[in-house]
Amino acid sequence: MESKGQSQIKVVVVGHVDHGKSTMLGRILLDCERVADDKLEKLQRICLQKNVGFEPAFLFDSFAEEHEQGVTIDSTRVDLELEGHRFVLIDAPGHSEFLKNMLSASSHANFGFLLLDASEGMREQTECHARLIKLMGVSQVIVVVNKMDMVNFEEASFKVRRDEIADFLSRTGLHALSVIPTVALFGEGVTKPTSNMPWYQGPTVMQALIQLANDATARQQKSDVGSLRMTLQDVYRFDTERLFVGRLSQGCLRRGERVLFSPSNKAATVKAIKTYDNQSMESCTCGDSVALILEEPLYVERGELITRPDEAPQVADQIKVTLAWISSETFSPKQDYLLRVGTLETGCRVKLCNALYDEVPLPNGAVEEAMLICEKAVPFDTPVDGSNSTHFVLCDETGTVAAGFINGVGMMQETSRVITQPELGYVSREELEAKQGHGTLVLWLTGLPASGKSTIARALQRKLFSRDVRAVVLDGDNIRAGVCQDLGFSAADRSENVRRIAHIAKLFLDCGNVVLVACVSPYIHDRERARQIIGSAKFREIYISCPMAVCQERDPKGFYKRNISRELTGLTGYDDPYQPPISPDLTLDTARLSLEDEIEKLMAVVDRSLTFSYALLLETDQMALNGQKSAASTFSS
Amino acid sequence: MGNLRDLENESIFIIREAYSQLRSLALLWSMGKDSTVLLHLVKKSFLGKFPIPLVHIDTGYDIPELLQWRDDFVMRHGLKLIVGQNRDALSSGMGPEKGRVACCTAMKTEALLNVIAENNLDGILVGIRRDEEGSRSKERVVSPRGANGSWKYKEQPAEMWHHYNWQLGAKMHLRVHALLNWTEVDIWEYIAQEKLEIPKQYFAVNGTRFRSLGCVPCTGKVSSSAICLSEIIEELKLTRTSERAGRAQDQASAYAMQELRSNGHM
Repeated sequence: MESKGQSQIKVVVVGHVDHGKSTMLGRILLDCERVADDKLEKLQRICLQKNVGFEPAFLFDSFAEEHEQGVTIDSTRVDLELEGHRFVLIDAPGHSEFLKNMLSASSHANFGFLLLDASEGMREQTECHARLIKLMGVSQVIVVVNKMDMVNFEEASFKVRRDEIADFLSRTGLHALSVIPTVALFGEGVTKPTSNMPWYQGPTVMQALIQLANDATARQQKSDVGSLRMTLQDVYRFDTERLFVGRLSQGCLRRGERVLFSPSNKAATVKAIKTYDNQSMESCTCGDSVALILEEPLYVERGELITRPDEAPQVADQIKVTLAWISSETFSPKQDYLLRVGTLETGCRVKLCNALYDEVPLPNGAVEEAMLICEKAVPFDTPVDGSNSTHFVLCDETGTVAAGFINGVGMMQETSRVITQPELGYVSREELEAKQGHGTLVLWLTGLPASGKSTIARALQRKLFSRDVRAVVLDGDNIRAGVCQDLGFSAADRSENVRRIAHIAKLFLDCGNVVLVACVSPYIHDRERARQIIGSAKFREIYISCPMAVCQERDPKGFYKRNISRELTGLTGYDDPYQPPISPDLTLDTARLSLEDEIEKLMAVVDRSLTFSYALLLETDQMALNGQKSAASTFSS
Repeated sequence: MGNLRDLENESIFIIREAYSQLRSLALLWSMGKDSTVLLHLVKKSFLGKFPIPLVHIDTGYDIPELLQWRDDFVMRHGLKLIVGQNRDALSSGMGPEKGRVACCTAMKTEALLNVIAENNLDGILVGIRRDEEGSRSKERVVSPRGANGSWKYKEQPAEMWHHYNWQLGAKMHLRVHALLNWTEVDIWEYIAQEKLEIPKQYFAVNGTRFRSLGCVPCTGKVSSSAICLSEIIEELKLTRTSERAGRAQDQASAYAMQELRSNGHM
């Protein structure tokens, strides 16, 4: 959430207990001369009383119990300014008993130090912590092989550890920026190069840290990008005005824009953005805490997610998640838990995917896939490019028991089983493809009304026709006029509309056609179901992307005009949500591209897919024959 | 600059969360620099309105001019002020000479717990920061306290991302530390940026000033020539002494603040 301009680089140190995490952070503070003289004297007195050498760890450990037992109980953080960068060093406990403290610390970090003892190597908490920080959103780590003095500064020992950790990290999906041999207690390899290990030419921990900050700052130039996401905290009624207060976690918002509240699915226009003393702002960006005044008198409550209607989040009451169980309480699939996502709270049940836990209890620190069945629908984003998106926590009456990320809609599989033609002995799609000399495909064109779907579908069909490729267009408007006459524009009716179109597309596909679907199909889960019905090998999702303002200007059917005058309501992208594809096979920006260019790009997709089909023909010929044989035997029995 | 804006936005988010999740919230105000920044942030959170009361714990040993400044400030800004004082302890002669920890416990902790009980508060906003001293460095943003004010620092609840714990047992209350991630320099830079009114005791007179405000008998001055905000900021960036070096109760023993705070001290 905190990412603006010169933003902080937050680094959490993790690893097994006693491998030297707090010591390393303490040493960094000491050598950067960031410790007040009186504090240093006080710690020296404490160490003297305990008859131990000076412990840099005590700069982070401060409870009497932590000093007595030489163990970190809870996390803390220290700000450190270095070479123009603002760092936050976050200490985390390594003892398994304090896992929830380690997780609390990691949730605020964007990078990690993964530390291990050169003589002990990877231990249980090293592995556990690595998995957990990945889950909490940290993907890059600086690996520190500490206590090199215990292995006589030998290069061979270091290499063993380095290979061991590289192998493990590749399995967890963490990326190691560097692997550094150190003796943290004395700062060797941490704040100063080490003369004891002349074989090591790489950076010190401090150098690696500054390199990381330089890279991160370079990447962070685009802090306002991404779709608007703002969590609604509260609605204040001051004087006569209703103020919708919350914080932007992504993107930016300008006065006059349309916003959608999810899950309630209500839309409104932003009349004013206010800050302190009723000063109005023209716009606000990621990280800002603001208050919105709306044109329309909406009734919504805390818990909603505010977005643009044409960049709507997914909304579902059954969701797939990855979670870390961080409680000593026993997990039960029969218990009601409280799910917290953004500011939304709802009761839920948890179904673990791994059947093992039907038999044995879920251990503290386990990372598992699960399905959450919620009382209320939850708005969320799913991961793009491996980045983490919407996080959540689960609570019971004892407090937080789990935390994790949402992966997607826990979809019901299409239940009706349509039997494929060859099984019944009919002419198969593969035979048709072989005979007609071209393959088959469904191109699913999704986008806002007036984004250009039908225009593109028409032109593409012409093009294919001229090349003797059999192509049909399923146009959303046309299908609504006939097959789907009984359906309206509620979310459920829109789903059913898409479901029917998907089945029709599948029938045409099996008849040897290239099928061009031109349909708004605003929901991600509906398009995913269409992919399931059609089969992902033959399904291509094409995002016809066009800014709302351009669609409004085009407005060939007068929808937007009638919508603004409120003669018509429920227009997708204005009143109703549109969920853009997460990773479409092709995106066509119709506001920038010419129709010719669009067709060329689409033809490339078609050619690639159809050529692919030809290559498969030899194999499928054989399979089709085998299929026929087995179908024949079914008939005879 | 970007950093102050991040800190301000995060603090406002926390204050609004607390106001939304708790039934009865108040702001603990010592008139010091930190809680005065917090007061300003509360005002920002509610667009200039001030929907919660202030609580001041009057130990009886406060700097007398500060009490005058307090009343004047409250009147000018139209705020609601609750003053807490442990009169029994004061009249029975409690003072630092009976032991600094004992005095702090009676005059501050007990007085605060009484105000919380009498006013049925379930949460108080407190302007402590991590970089002040060790036990505060380990705090949660939202930190539960038992009926007797006790802080179970070895069993703090998980606090992930911005999902704070608002669960409350009977007779418990929550300390909401909206400035936890600010540093001393951040506070002064923010005071300068927002042109906040602060007590004049922070500025140097005849070569000394208060770096941290507290009771007269237990708060020492630092030698300083800083007579304006920019000079204070300059001085703090170079200093080799810690902020609370002049606070006698901190020095009573190695873990005095841990002991005080585990029993409900702020």
